Parts: sequence; structure tokens; C-alpha cells
Amino acid sequence: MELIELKTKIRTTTGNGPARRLRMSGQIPAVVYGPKTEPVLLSVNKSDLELLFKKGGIGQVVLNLVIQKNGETLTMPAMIKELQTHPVSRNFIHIDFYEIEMDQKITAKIPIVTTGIAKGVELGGVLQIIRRELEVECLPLEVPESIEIDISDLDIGDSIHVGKISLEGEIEILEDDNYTVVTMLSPKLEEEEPEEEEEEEIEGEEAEKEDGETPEAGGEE
Amino acid sequence: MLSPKKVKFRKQQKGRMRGISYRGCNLDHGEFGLQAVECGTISSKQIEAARIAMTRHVKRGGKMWIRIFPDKPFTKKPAEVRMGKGKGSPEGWVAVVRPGRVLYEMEGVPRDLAKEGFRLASHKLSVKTRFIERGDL
Repeated sequence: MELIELKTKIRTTTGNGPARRLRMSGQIPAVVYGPKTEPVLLSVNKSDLELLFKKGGIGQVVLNLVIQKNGETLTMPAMIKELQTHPVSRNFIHIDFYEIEMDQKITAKIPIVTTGIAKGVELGGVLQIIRRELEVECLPLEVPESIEIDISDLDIGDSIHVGKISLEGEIEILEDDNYTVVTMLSPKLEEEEPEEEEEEEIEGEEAEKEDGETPEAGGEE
Repeated sequence: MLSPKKVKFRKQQKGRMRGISYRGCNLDHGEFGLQAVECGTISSKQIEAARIAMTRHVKRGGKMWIRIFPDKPFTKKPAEVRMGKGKGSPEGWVAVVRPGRVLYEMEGVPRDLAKEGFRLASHKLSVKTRFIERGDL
């Protein structure tokens, strides 16, 4: 994986008001920290971030932060530690960058991609992806874009566990071997519900008829 | 219909709905979801009606999750009763929903089918909603 360059600026203001003003001007407040460095307050251009997320997922992007400070330019390899978004508008609120060392292994969350059409789906089963991301440990430049799982042999009732997934290179999956990643559910459970609904409907119709009959009967009396 | 099995107190005060939902605002299980964009209360009857509308449209296949639970009782006075003489008797259960809350999630169905299912379900609910999918930022 290549390092993606991201331009940032040093930010001197803190607090709600200045952060809001920063967001209004198209910048997102950010911070970078690491095991050996002091936290540095930054601001990132919103459009640069949107472009960045089109290139790759949040958890596995390795960045080369370009920090502009008083005319000087510093570079720092980093990953996104946390991304805060607004629950309703989905706008970016704040980003935490974590400084990494290129020769030391890092942990990253890699998205899972399924390939092929499962046997069970053709028989009416429902494919359920239980884990959409797996945490792996590897060197920063070896971080895979995604983990591909072939599900073409997956029949109803079958499941794929973490232990069955093999990755190339020196990439280690940090999850327990027994964790289920993908499973094929039986279609029976899903079909039961409409039957119940139909019964309810019939009952409802009967009740309506009874209600309708009662006043007539009363009128005859 | 959904309702608590046991509660400590039968009646609750109405309360106010302020702010947005920071909890339960992301898709946790499925590929698609229905998110509330305004605050309000959703009754257990509405939750059930929306669920039925969705499952009927989707027919076979797919898995669905209900992400809200009606745990707040509401009361009602009988018809033709004058004001006063105490609070009415419990009538049903509602879920308090704030903007951002994911109400339902779905998986294992094509996008168009899920979107239409959620559109039908949204007509059964008393809050404005929108369709969301995984990967939306």
C-alpha cells in the first residue's frame, strides 16, 4: 500500500466556538499524537478528506501528514485513530491521527469482501456477514486493502470462521480463531412471519365482520 | 407487539425530547437502515406495522433488526371523563426517538428492494426518516 499525502495546518485555537468557525470555513479540526510525540493541534481541508476516503477505508489508510508550520514543512507517517461524524448530517466533526513508525508493526481494521455466489443463496438461504472488519497486525506498507473470502461453497447452516482465513505475507489476524465471520442462515425462520401475519389478518377480518353484524342484529331486535 | 415484561413503576411523566441521538446512530448489523431525522415517540403498534410492511414487501430472504424498543408507558383517560381526578390508566408503550437514531436495519436483500421496503415502513411511523446504507459518510 502506498502512502497517501494529506496537507494539514497547525491550529492555535481550541474550544467549541473556534472549532465551529473552523468547520464553517471548510476546515476540520484534528490532532496528531503518538507514543513518542506530544499532541499537535491541526486543521485539515474538508475536500481533501473526502477525496481521501474515496481512495480507501478509514481504518487501513496509511497517511503521510504534511504539516505546515510558520513556512516550514514537516512530514509524519500517521493513521486515522478516530473519526467523529455528526449523527444526522454525517459531516466530519474531528479527526485523531496516530503517528506510526514505518519499521514497526501496526494494527489496522481491514474490511471483508465476499466473492462468488453461495450455494445456500440459490437454495433460499440468507447470507449474514457477522464481522465486516477484521483487526490485523502488519507493517504499515503491507496493510491490505481488503480481505477477500470465497463464499461459493457455503451451504445453508455453514459458516466461515477466522481460523479458516489465510492471508499472504506476514499479516496476522488478531481475532480469535473461533469467531464467525460469515454464516448462511436457513430460510425457514424468515418464512414463518408472513404466515403469522396472514393469520392475524384473517382474525382481524373476522372481528370486523362480527362488529359489523352486531348492530344489524341489534336493529332486528 | 413489543412491550417490557416487568416495570418498576406503571406510569411515567411525559418528559421532553431534546438534542440528537449519539447512541444507536450507526449501522451495526445490516447493510441498509432507516434513520430518524426528527424527534418523536413511536408506539409499539407503529413499530409492528412498519415491520409487517417491510417483511411483506421483501417477502422471502433478508434479515431484519429492530433497533428501538418501546419502554415508556403512556396513559389515557377514558372517554367522556372530566379533567382532574388523577392520571389516566396505562394505554400502551412508546419508544422515544431522537434525530439520528437508526430504527431498523436490513441485510441480504438488493438495495432497491430494501429502499422500497423502508419507504413503505416509513409511512407507518410518526417521525420523518431517511434511508441509509453502509459506506455513507
